[in-house]
Amino acid sequence: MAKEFKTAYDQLTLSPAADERIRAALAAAQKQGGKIIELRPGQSPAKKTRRISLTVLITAAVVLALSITAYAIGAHAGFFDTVFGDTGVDSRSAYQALADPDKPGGEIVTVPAYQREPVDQEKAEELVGAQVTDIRKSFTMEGVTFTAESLVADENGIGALTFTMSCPDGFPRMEGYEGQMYNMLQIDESRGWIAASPYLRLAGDDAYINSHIYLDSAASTERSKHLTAYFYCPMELQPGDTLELVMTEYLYNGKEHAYTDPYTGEERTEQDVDTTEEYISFRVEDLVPAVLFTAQDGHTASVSPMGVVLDDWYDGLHEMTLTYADGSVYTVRGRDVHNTQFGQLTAPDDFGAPGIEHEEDDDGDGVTDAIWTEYPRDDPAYEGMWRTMYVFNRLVEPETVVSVYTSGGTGYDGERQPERIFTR
Amino acid sequence: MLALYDTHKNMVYRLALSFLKSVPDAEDAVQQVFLRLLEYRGTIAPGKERAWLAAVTANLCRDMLRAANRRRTEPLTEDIAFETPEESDVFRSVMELSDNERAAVYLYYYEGWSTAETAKILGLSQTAVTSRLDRARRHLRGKLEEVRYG
Repeated sequence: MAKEFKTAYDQLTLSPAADERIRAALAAAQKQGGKIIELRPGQSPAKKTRRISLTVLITAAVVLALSITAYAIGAHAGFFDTVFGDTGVDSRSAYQALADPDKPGGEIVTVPAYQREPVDQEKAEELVGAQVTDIRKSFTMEGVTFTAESLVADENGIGALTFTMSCPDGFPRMEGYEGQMYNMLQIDESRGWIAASPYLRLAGDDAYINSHIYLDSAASTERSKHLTAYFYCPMELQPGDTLELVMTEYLYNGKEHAYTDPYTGEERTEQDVDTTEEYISFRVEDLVPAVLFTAQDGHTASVSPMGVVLDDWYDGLHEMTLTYADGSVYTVRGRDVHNTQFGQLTAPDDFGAPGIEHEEDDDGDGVTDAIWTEYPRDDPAYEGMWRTMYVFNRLVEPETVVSVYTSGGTGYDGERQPERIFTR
Repeated sequence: MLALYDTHKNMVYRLALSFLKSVPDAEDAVQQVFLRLLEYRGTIAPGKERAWLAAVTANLCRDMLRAANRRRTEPLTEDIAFETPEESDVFRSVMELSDNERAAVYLYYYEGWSTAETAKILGLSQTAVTSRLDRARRHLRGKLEEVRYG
């Protein structure tokens, strides 16, 4: 068997046609000075040059149903419902499902009931209301009007932006999974291509903040989509910083230019594109404060109403429990399928890679569907530079949290992380 | 850059194929992975490229699977002509494993990474990789016996 296995995989090689196409794509990208551009329209959100090589990928908890009127100017209630959750919507009873539909004879598991915490509007206003920025700015590109609605971010760099996309012709290309959207926009490919979705960046540094975008399916219609971008900004977000919601399109301009394929030496031609960018700028006026919790070994957990940042690498965290002063707990653990959607994070890891995610599936080995990431700060040694971030799927009042408990997971060195209890 | 591409393109392709079970999708993944390498090559420590590429491939493929709403493709073996029926049987059996099991089998048995290295690339604990390899071995043994004696 081993021999057949080896020889079978030996035969799996890129086809010459694919090889040629990829070489051409790399050559085109290299010509742009290393810019990553959307060479195959509609495959993934457009990405551009980064002067700093940090890409952030944030997954958030959930997107909830709410009415269009909930986005009314000055009213944070709809915004809070969207960002922090709501009860009665999307909640569901336990049901049975195949643990791995890809596996013949897969195990049937019981997916626990999904109970959503109602948002205490008064408490939300008290905790984060002062830091909510109402934006209400729009631009239109390719017939789609993008409107940035409201923003909130904490001093750890975790944030959420609500925005809408409206188009009288509708959105035939809405692709996502469990509310998280990947591809939403497309134009006639003979004209060029367009970013698959808007994206965020930190103005000035030209630093891109990749976010995970969730669709509010209840509030959305064929022609108007209500969305929330959950993001993590590792670039030391400060009050007064400006963020931008950006859309880019690349349209063929009818010209061609010749170039030499750096790999084959062949002379080729390719169509020129004109790049057009539209964006909305908005200042982060203030940041939601976080509360620092410290474990006995000195490691920390910084908790805000929106999420938590741990100061180490936790690969395969089994459980995180926030214990409140009244004795109640907020727990997320491995097999608690949907209730574990409280987190994510990302950034370069030891391979220097941006956007390295780590995800465990539902087999009890780790936190289901939670994605976590780590990033080094500027210290090349990386020692002590790792961060693991989670976004809560509910509003958390840090001042009422007495401890944060973590269990499981391995550190950067591959050693098992000890159980930690972080206290104030 | 070309040297890195030529050295690692088939590793990336095989790993992508292990995840995605689709030749066109795996080819797209190879393109995207090397575009990322082009963008971030200055940040990758020399000698770390192979592991970097494997980790990026694994994460990209998970993204693609999620983006495709966990779309499942038709049996891949019909797209690939192997030299012998035994090779085809082995490959088909591997493709019947779950996503992470397929990837772990490929990285561990074909690429020769240790369980610790495979765990780091896949973002799993070493225990999780070991258990996946164990499940895969049991599955493959049973499947191959079916082929042989069925």
